[in-house]
Amino acid sequence: MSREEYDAVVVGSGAGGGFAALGLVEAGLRVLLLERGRRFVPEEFPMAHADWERRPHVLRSPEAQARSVVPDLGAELDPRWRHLHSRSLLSEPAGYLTRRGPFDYQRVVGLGGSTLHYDGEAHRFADFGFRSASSYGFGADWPIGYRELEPWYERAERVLGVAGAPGNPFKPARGPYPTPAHPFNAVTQRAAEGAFRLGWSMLPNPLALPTLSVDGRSRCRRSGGCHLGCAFGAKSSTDRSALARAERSGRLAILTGARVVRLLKARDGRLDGVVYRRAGGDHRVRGRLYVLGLGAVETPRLLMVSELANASGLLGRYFMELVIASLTVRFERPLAPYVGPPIQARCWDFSRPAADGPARSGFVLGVSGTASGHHGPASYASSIPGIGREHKQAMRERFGTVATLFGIAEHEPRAASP
Amino acid sequence: MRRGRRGFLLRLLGALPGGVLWRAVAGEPAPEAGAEPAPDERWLELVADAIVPGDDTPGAVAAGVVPRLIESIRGDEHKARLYAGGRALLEAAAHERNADGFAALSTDERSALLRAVGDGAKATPQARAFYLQARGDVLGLFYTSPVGWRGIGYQPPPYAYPSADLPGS
Repeated sequence: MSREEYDAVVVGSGAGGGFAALGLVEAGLRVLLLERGRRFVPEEFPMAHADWERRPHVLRSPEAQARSVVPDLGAELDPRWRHLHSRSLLSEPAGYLTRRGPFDYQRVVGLGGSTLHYDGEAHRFADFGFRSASSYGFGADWPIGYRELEPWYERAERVLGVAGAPGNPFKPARGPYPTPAHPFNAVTQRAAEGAFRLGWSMLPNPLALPTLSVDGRSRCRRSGGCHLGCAFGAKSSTDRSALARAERSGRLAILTGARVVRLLKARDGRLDGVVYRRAGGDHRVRGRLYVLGLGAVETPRLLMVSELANASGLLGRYFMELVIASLTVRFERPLAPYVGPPIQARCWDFSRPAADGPARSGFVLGVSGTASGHHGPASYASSIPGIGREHKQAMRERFGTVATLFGIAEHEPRAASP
Repeated sequence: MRRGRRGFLLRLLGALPGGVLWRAVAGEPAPEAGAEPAPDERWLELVADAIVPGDDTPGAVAAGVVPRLIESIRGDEHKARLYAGGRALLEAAAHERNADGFAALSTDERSALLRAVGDGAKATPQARAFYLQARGDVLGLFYTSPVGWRGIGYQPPPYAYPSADLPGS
């Protein structure tokens, strides 16, 4: 087994590992980053090609698609809400839902991790989110506050070239974003008009999809389909942003195809090395610092199997998911909802925790032109039933008319989870 | 490999009892053992036209769907089997309706027959599988082609910024 030593060893290259690596090299350290997957190049993502709807989703490797081992059919829904059933105007009635969907663990194996498939949403926490328990009786307070994180938010946003517009009254006051906000597409504008009539806001969504060139990269080309991988290399996934910047320092070594199989423990119980498997051989590497950035499932799993960092007995507990409810609607005329970033606006009016609200955590609302699986022409053609002249006419009338309205709430952290 | 798969399709068509299928459905003699004609382009045109017919805008045939469909069948034994079985079902159904084969029907009649056979209440699993395969193939090929896009006003990405809102302008 070969042995190497670095100042710091970072495992994982997504939002956590990628930015940790950048921070460490900017502090002057020599860093090794271990990534289980490979590098992707924009040209291999489907939307780099005219027939993108027929191409395989290269970020969905069988390994990345491995689902939870928990045979959870989803919790029974409160019968009071059974009337909120789904009916598809594009095809046939879909009936009532009696259970929520099962746990869906979405991740990407590759340099950049899950930032390869994220839609670029780059939100700062609200200041009230750090004192949620003491102010609202929900969740837990943080040991730090917004002001302590603010300079780090600014630093990360500059690297990401976040596009946005200040002036969100539901967030702390802030200066301008690194790049201007994306203009609303027609369906987002329509949703914003509807929200305004209800007295709600619908504000530009901060997005790590720069509207101006950052670090020599292309600016966002408004292609949509960010979850397929950015065919223009514009989205600020960590491989294109933080890691690219860190590599230019000359102090970051990246090893792809390197799967960490265990962490080594010294006699005093501290972490004392990482064993990774690459090209058929096992290798050991040591650092003065270690960062595990494998995500909310894999990081605790690796620590558990290595019998590390669990003196509190809390490792793997307090797991939190997002809870999402969505409603897909069809407008009467085409609104080209596929143009531009998938989620261009959000309504924050209900984002504060509320004990008597429909979701105790508070929730945000948004609109997406492509979240329902209706994106390009082939997806519409598939969902419209039948064939022949009627189908062709239906395509003329319905293509570009579908959008999804959604709400996102938050799990309360619980020791019993999972 | 490709040659072998094409041979499989032809053997499947030709090996049905007495070559009945081949003669009955196409009005042609069954292929002799070892003969390797291409998948029946004309018959696939009829299927493609039934799924996306031409009208005041081009249909699947004019969009060049059929050559790409043939290519995909040649490379896929499972798909070749589905299409061969579907052909038999459609021809038999056409004869049941006193038509002189699938080709003798009008475009609208072929659309209706294909949907009845593959998507009707009495559709067999085999017919259903063929229908879904053919429908998915033709719709997918047509609506990922520039000809298909023009008919519904779709412009592929990248998309321009509205000039009035162009960042940095």
